Amino acid sequence: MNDPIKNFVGQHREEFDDFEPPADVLDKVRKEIRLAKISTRRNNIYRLSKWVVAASILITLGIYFYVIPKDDSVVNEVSKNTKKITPKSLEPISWSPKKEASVNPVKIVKPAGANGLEKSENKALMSANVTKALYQNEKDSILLLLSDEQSSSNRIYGLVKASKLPHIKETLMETIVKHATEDENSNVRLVAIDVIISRLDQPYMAKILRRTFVEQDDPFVLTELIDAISNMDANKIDKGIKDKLVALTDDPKTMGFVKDRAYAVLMSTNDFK
Amino acid sequence: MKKVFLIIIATTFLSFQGYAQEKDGTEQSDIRLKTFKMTKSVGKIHIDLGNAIIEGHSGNEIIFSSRTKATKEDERAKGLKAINGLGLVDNTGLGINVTEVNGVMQVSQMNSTYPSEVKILVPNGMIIVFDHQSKFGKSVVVRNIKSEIEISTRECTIDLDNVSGPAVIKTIYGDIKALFSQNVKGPLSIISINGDIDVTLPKTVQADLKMSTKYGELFIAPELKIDVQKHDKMTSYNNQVNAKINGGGFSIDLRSNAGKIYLRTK
Repeated sequence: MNDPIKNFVGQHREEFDDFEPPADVLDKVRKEIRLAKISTRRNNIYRLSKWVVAASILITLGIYFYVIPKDDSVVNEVSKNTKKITPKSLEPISWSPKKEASVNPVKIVKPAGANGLEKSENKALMSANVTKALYQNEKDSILLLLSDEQSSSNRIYGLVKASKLPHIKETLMETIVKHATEDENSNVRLVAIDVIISRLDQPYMAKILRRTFVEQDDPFVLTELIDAISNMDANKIDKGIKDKLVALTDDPKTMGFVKDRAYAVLMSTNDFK
Repeated sequence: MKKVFLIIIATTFLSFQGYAQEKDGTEQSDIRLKTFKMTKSVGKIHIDLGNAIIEGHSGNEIIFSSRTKATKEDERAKGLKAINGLGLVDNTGLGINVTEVNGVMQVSQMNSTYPSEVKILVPNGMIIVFDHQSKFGKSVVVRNIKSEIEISTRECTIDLDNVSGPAVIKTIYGDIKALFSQNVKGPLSIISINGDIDVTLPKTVQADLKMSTKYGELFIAPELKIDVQKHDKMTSYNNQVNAKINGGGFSIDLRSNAGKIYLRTK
């Protein structure tokens, strides 16, 4: 309220104004204002151009995905995936990714009308060739992964890839069965068993499951197989399976948890009812 | 009378404590640290030990070390070398044999019944395979590993700390605890037949998850964004969850027969 410094400054205000501003100060201020305006304009242009670039990328991508045929896009995706599978441990194997790249549907498919076929027939042939090339491509990369004896994780990766195939042909299934029964790693065997169990709706797979069970010697894998067998129709449990179950229960080396399951399945079969 | 009784108790207690401290001090000074080094930074190391700590490091040497009590050393074995049933001799001075076979480093122990703890520093990038099927196996601890790990054991408990994967792990009777690093890579396949499995993953991990236990229970962190797939006819017989975490990605397979499975985030 009663500030002595404030009062003193108020009373001697004129004495403080002893410096005059330089003559060019107004010009400097004007220049600065002009520069500020220009930079604001530049910022606006820069912001706008970012949006223009983003929009043009979106439009280009949209046109790309709309124009490119569906089959090609699938092939491209697969070849991208197969390119990713080049772990260091696979390098010594004499397999060149260039070969894989040569499985290109564009080269396989002949141009329409070139061999005198109608357009619809050509389309069917094209799609069959693409499917065949796709399968072959995937099969090659799966077999390559499964052949990697140094890395069990690569073999698991190969089996996981196989489980995603819509169809598994006999030759590839044979390799999967081999891994289910002979692979030195139990984890790999279990994933192979998963692939087999997931295809049990196919007619010949019951035989494969039976064979895998009869030849199995890994305790944890045996439990998975016994569980799958216990879900089967009791009539489908043939002599071979029963003999193996009895052998497991008789063997003093069989682990307790395997024996328990084997007994449970045997008790559910008609022979023991 | 009471005072005398209290004094006797206090004196007895103090003298016992003094004896214990003296004993500890003697034991500390008795422990000897032995090391064995060899230059190798790529390829595979195959370890068959009952009690091991395996750690990743940035050097280009594999460094083995063991702490043994001087009092436990066999005076009568001085000047002799330990040998095991495979004909392998202790060529390191740590009670283990280290040999290179077809480019793979093989590490085996001499004393199968009471394995002493061996610490192994492994250069980053080497593939680690731990395979110990003895019923006297104790534990394996794996820390700070940025490469592929494969573990198969009968009795050992398994403790993975800050490992990146891929990891293929199996034990019959041991528990498994696994803490994966932020940049985790698949596939991860972890099986304990009779033990519990406790896995910690980063929240952002994208994976296809399969968890199954026959007689145990499954637990999952609520913050994990999972999309559980419905069971089909063939897989409905056990306690099994198939799910996509954060939209799906690499494969994670966690299985037990009698144990519980815990999936957490960090």
